[in-house]
Amino acid sequence: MSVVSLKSREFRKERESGWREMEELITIARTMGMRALSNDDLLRLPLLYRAVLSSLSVARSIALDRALVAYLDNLALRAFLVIYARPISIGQSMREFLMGSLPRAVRGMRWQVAIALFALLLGIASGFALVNHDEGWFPVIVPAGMAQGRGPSSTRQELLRVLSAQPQASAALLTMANFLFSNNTLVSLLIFGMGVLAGVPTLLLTFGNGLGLGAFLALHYHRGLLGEFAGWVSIHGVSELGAIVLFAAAGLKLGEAVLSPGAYTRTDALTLNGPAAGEVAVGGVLMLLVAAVLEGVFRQVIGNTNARLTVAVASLVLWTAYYAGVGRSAAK
Amino acid sequence: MTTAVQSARYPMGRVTRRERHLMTPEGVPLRIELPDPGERFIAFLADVFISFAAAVLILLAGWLAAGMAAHTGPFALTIPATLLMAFLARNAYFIFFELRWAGATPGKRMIGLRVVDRHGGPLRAGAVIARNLTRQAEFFFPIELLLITKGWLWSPLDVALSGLWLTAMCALVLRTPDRLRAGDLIGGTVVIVLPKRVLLEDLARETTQFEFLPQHLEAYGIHELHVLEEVLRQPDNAETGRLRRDIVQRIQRRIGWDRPVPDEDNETFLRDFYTAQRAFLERRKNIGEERRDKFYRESERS
Repeated sequence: MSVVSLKSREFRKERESGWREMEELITIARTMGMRALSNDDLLRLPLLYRAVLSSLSVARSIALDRALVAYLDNLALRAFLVIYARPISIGQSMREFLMGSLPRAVRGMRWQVAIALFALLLGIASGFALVNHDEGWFPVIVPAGMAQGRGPSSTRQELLRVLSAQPQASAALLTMANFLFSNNTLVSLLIFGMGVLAGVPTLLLTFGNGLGLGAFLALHYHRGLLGEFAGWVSIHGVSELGAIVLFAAAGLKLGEAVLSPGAYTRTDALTLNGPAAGEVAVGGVLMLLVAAVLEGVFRQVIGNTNARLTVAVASLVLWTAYYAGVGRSAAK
Repeated sequence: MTTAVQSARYPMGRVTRRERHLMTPEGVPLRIELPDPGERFIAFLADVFISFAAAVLILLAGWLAAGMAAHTGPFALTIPATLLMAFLARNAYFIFFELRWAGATPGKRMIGLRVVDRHGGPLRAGAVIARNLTRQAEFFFPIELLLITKGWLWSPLDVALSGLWLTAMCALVLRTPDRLRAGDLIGGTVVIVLPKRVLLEDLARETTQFEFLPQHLEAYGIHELHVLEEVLRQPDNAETGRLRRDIVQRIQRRIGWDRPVPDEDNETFLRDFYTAQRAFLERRKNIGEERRDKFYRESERS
């Protein structure tokens, strides 16, 4: 019989109770939430966490017991996640998002926003110029599904009938608003996601969106309905086009990270710019939601062109003020 | 069946997954395991199923409520409110759970997956939202393109486009070293497996029956010690018994142990040898000589 002294075994005996305690706290935090921890537990948590990290470092350098190192590796990772990957409160993160990080992220992309806006306006101008010159361009630019029967052969009366649709039951309107919203969101997320491909598809899609609108403008202009159409489309169009500009700007930001990552690898550049771009895209989704309600409800309820134009101008002013002004004082 | 065999042969869990390191703010690198693509796919399917089922349930409940209130006021609001809720259940599901459960959804929790920040920081709301919004464009868009625009009569062009898009997205997960999906790239996140390991008993003994001298312990290195640890942790059965007898004989030959070891003492011999060998190698390591495996002498010479 002989006695063998083993540093790693002594080390384990000395520290094991702390590891067990950490395990218990992790189990409580993961199954019942951080609130189930008592004040004492909360005070012990960071101390135990650091003790586990130090145990791991020591075990890696002195112990040849594989099971011990594997256990400590796992325990340290689970403790790390309890400390650093906290559950996030939905309400609080929404407040922070709306009152701070969203407008700040948009301001941080003012150049991308300007380029996207330029692409959109260029599209509108081109579409208007083409159809104004020759209405034969209209069916080329506007797909049949979107035109819904409107085209070079439409008369003034037919177009006017679309513009001054009668108010219907509010249920059907909200249903339509829902449909428009989910449909638009899909297309817009494509504009955003395609930004990874150097931003080219993003710019083309944005330009294409403007092109269709320009074509409609020219069609109505020829029939003396420019004012009526402007009111009909802009009551929700300001918010919808604003959303498209935001999606495109976020997409361009991603494209920029891929094209000129600077001192970083492309992956790291995407990671650095990704969250801000994602926030701007969420802002776009919110604007689409507003646009859908304006289009589905308010446009049907408000029949008067002047009133429609007033709502449009008001929404333009409000959106601009929101993105330009909110959350400035909180910025560090 | 295969998993049972595997866990019997490797009681500590043979690591077949990819390993990476995550640096904590305290500067300690933590070992993380990346899930197999199959594990992530199963978690994803479970989540899609749950969120769709929830959406369908909400729709059914809404229609029932609307039917009961058909002639009264609330009818006007029931259907649209229901539609909105179903839309949210389908689209906000991932974001909601990854925020509330700190990087896990019901499907991920089932498989034991977590979303973490790739650089060891806290998981931020912006990252969670970004990675899940991207999922829409990554996966749901090509599917819905087929369903919405063409009904069930898909044109070859649409099928080709959607297929190409999905293939590219899957290729990204399979080809990036950290198994990143486009949403992970943008959100700065990585998905890890988080198994729960228990602390197994220490195999080293306080006192030993067999006494090994330093010259007996020169033959092996850390790798052989770990193999021996695996063998000792295997459950006792006839096969393990044969394996242990074989190993005892090999060790005897290798270290020049001339006294015979009776069969019933095989396990004691191995446990004692493990204890002595570990104590010896730990001491060598402590003075800066790490003997990786039994070839350590050759690597010293070269």
